[in-house]
This record gives sequence, structure tokens and C-alpha cells, in this order.
Amino acid sequence: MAKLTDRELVDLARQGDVDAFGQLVRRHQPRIMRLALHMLRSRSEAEDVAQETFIRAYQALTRFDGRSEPYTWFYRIAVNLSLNTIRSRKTARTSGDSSDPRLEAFMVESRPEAANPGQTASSRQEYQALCAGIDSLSDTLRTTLILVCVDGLSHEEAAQVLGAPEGTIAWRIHEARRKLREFMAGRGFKLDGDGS
Amino acid sequence: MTSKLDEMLAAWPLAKSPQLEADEAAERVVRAVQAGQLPASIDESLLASPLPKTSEDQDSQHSTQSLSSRPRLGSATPGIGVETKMAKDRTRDRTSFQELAKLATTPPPPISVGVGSEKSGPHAPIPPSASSSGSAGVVRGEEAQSSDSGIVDLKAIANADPTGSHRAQTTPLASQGLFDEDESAPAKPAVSEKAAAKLAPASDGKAVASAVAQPAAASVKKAADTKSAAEKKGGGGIVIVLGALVAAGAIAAGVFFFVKSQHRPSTVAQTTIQAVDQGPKVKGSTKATPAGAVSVAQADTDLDTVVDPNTPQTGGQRPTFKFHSKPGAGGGAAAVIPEPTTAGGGVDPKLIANVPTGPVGGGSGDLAEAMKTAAGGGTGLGQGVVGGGGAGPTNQGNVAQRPSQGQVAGAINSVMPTVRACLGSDDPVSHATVTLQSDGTVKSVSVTGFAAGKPQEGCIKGALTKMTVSPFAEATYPVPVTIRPN
Repeated sequence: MAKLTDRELVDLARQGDVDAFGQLVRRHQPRIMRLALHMLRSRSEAEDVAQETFIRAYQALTRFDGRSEPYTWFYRIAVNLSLNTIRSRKTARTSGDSSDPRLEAFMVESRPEAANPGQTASSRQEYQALCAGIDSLSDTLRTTLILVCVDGLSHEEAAQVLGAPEGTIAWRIHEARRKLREFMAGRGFKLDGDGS
Repeated sequence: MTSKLDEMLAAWPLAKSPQLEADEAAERVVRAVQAGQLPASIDESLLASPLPKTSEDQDSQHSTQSLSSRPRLGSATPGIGVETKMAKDRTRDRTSFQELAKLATTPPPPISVGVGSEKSGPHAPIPPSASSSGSAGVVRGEEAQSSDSGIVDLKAIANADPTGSHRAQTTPLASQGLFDEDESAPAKPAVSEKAAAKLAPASDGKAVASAVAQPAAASVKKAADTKSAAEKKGGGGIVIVLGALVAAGAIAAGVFFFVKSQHRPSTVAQTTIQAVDQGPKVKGSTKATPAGAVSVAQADTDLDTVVDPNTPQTGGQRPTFKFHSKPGAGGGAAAVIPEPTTAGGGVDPKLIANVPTGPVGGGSGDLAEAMKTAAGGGTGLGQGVVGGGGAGPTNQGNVAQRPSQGQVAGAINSVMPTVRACLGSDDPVSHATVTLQSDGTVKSVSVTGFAAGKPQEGCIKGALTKMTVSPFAEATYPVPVTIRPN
């Protein structure tokens, strides 16, 4: 069976093919999960949000107009669900601790420098500070930064997800980088370059 | 070029085994969908754009405008749309002001009247200096240099184009008389000067005088003036003249009826104060009304002021005003505005107070009497005030014509227990008529029916005599009372 595009899978799912929609979930669940993890900093909440994202998307398949890619539509629903979860929290979650799933994922990941324990510890400290810096950003800047810099969406795709002009996305990224560099410099981490 | 920060962010590791987790998630989603575990309704908020523009974004709007090279795709954020619309509106308004400023300073097009080579005349083209101060012929004020707010320096424009005012007077609109208001304006001062000239002899101390107003003649003269001016103006002026004549006629008719209705009390006032000694009568002519009351003064009126030096007075002279109406040449009627301030002497307030009162000596034919009779009243309100022939209450301005039904009912109810006590429980119904007098007390009581001529009559009369109501204007007021035993 030839690999179907996302739009074709959406069309099939609209016609009642649940397996086609399952295939869509398999394709995009990791990205949605990573987005939810970075936004929620809780694995259990991220899993719930990821599952809820696809269920809501299936329910609203008829509302998908096809002007954008299906995964950007999934991203939009995931961002909305994550923000709703954050707003429903009674207390603000602290960041930078050892239980942060973002750092746990980093530790699990096998990286070339993992062979060097000293390098690994240094990287972990950097990422830990980076997590704290990301958490210090506003929801707007953090979400945009995650979509563009972590998930690798283009400005156009991020604009479609967030419903903002590309210029606004570009400014948000610029501002998030500037604040992150200042934050990291305050922690003693020198991040060269301006990112441009 | 990407920085280390971007590399770190882009190389952020995924947790666990992504594909395994994705398979598990897909299985859960498919099972949930197949089991129908879907929410009851579609949450529209989840499909809307998250994170609309914030204050941070608004601060950077100028930068985002420059950075945004392509139109926004798939955006349905209402807040952003509103901001864009408002910005467009502001730009449109600013443009509109600029256009207004340009229109204000745009000179009228030169008129080709065939004057030929008269370059320096009123129809000469605008000198280049008039438009050299601005790039588009707009002369900006100094306060508009910092910001292009559309402020136009009219003074600078006038200095730059000295012939502009002259040229404006020769435009087609100016030739139609639209700017001729200033020419007709001196007509009023002329009338005022005339009135002042007539007032001058009156103010020499001897007396004041009769105001001989000649409104009809004045209106005719005015119409003639207006007509001559209208002939200059053309067809539009003729319409104005006709309108003025119609208005003058209407005003004259109104004044005629007004004076006619006021004529009888004036004659009463005239007869109230008799001039015992003719004395030095000074007769003058003046306009009794200010210039603003031209409508009233347009009637032809003689106002004779008779000074009675023997009449006791506290100060000043005490004139008697005689109003004589004469039809004017233009059909105008007489009008009188008795303003004693123009007479040069004080007027006794008693005189003014007595003027509108009732008939002298109870004479018939007075307007107030006629009105009172028509209203069904008995004696007049003004009775006894001047002539003293009536029996009305002294303070007539504050009393009612007759007691109200509520007052009468209350008075009856107050004495009815006592009245009923005069009769036995088995006695038939009796009737009584209580006649109230103007001070509110009972004048007389007449009893009819069962109690008439019986011992109970005196008891009933005694009880009903205690009725009281507020004073009223009429002399008497009968009140029928039905007396039912308990």
C-alpha cells in the first residue's frame, strides 16, 4: 500500500475510515507529545493532552477546511488544550528540578557526548538552565519558541497554528531568543551568536 | 548562522521511544473513536487561534509590519482584525484632513469675463508666490511644521496673495449677493439713530413724551430700501423683498389684534388717573421699543404722556399713558409697548397694578367681566378692587372659585355623626341645604323632608352650621346634604 499523504488520510477519515485516522495519529503523535511536554512539563498531562488532541480533531474533522496541513491543525488544538490545562492548574509548576520530563528525556537520549560524563553533566546543566529560561517566558513567547525552535516549524506554519502574522512570529522568536540569552548569561552560560 | 542556543533547542531530545509511544497512542485513540467516546459537542475554542496578539506584540507592531512580507494566512483572530481596521481608519482620517487643508487653500479657478489683458485686475491669475510656500499650494502654520496635522495658516495665505480678497468678491457666488449681508446691515443702525434722535429731546428733563412710532412708513421705507438693494442683487433679492413684505404684513396684523385686545384696559387705566391740572405737557416722539423689537414698533402709534403734578408721588413723574392707534400707510396697526423707562420719570407701581383690574365702579362691559360671566361665575374676580362694588374676598389671587368636592365632602363627614344623632333610628330621610359663604363658614341652613318643622330641625341646623371649608371666591355656595338615620 502506497504511503498516503495527510490530506488523503483526512479524506479517508472523513469517510469513516478510523484506521486512516489512526495512521495520522502515529505520524504526528511524537511531535504533539513533545509540544505538550514542553508546554506542560508533566508527562501525564502531556499524554492526556496528546490523546485528547486527536480525539477532538477526529470529532471536528468536518470543520477542517484543508487550507493548511492537518498537522498544523493538530498543533492548534494541542496548544489550546495545553493552555487550558495550564490555566486550570491551581498552583504554578516549578521548573528546573530533576523531575522535569524535558530533562528526563535528555538523559534518556543517547547522544555522542554522552560517552563523556563531564560533557554530559555540563550539557545537563545547560539544558536545566535553558528549561528555567523557557519557563520564565510568557505563554506567547514560550509557545512560539517551542513551535519554531524546538519542533522545527517554519514561521509560516507557526503563523497558521497560532493565527498570527509571520512578522509577529518572527518578532516573538527574536524576543524569546534575546530574553533567553539574557537569562542564560545571568546564569553564567555564554551563548554565542544572535541566532540570525 | 545559528547560535548555540538554536542548536540546543533544535536538538532537544524526545522522550522514550517515540514510535512505540505513538503506536500506543494511536491504538488508544482508535479504540476511543470506535467506542464512541467522543465529547458531546465540538469545542469551538479549541479550533480558534490560540494566543492572539498581546501587548508585547502591539509594542512591536511597527517592527512586525516591516517584517511581514506576506499576507496572514488562515487567521481568524478578531483582535488583530480590529487593530488593522482602526489603523486604516486613522490613516484615512489623516488623509481626509490633508485633503481638506488643500481644498481650503486651493484658489478659485480664474474667471474668463473678457477683461482681456488686465493682468493685475481682480481676475488675474494667482501670483506664483501664493503657491510657492507649500509644495502643493498649502500654507502650513508654524505649529503644523512638526506634525502634518492639516493646520492652515490663513494669515500667511492672505499675505502671500494680497489680491485674494478682491478676487473672492468677484467670484460668481459673490456676484449673486451671498456676501452682501454686510451691506444691508447698516439699515438697523439707521433706524436706531433715528430713534435716538427722537429720544434726545425727551431726555432734556422736562418730560417724556409720546412715542410716535411709524412702523408702517418705516416698513415701506425699509421695503423700498430692500427693493432697491434687491434690484441690485437680481432675482434672489426679489424673493427676499417679497418675503419681507409678507412678514411685515403678518406682523402688522398680529400687532393689530394684540392692540385691539389690549385697548379696553388701557382706556380704563387712562380714566383711572385724571389729569387735574393740564400743567406742562411735553409731547415728544420716541420709539418705545429697542431696536430689537422692530416688529412691534412697526405700528403707527401715538403715545401721549400726561404728567399730573398734583398727584401724590414718591419720586419722579407720574405719567398717564394714552394709546391711540392710527392705521399706518401700509395697513399696519397700532402697537403699544408701554415701557415707562423711556419716559424719563418713574411710574407709580399702583398705577401699573390697577391697570388690569376690573371695571370702574362696577360698570358693565368690561372684558374681564365678560370673561367671568362666560365662565359661569357670579361676581367678578376683580370686583371691589377698583370699583369696590363687589363682595368678593380680598385675597382673590390665592383662593379657589368655589370649594372643592373633597373639601365639601370632608366637612359634611365631620359633622354628619352629630347630624345623624339628631334623628331616631326609625326616622325617614331628611334633606338639608347648607349655604356656604366666601370665608368658608356656613351662612344658612335649610332643612326639608322629615325633620322640617320638627324639633330635630334645630338640632340638624346647629350641627350643620359647624361645617367649615377653605375660603373661596364666590359669594355663596349651596351644598345639598342628605341625612339618613343610623
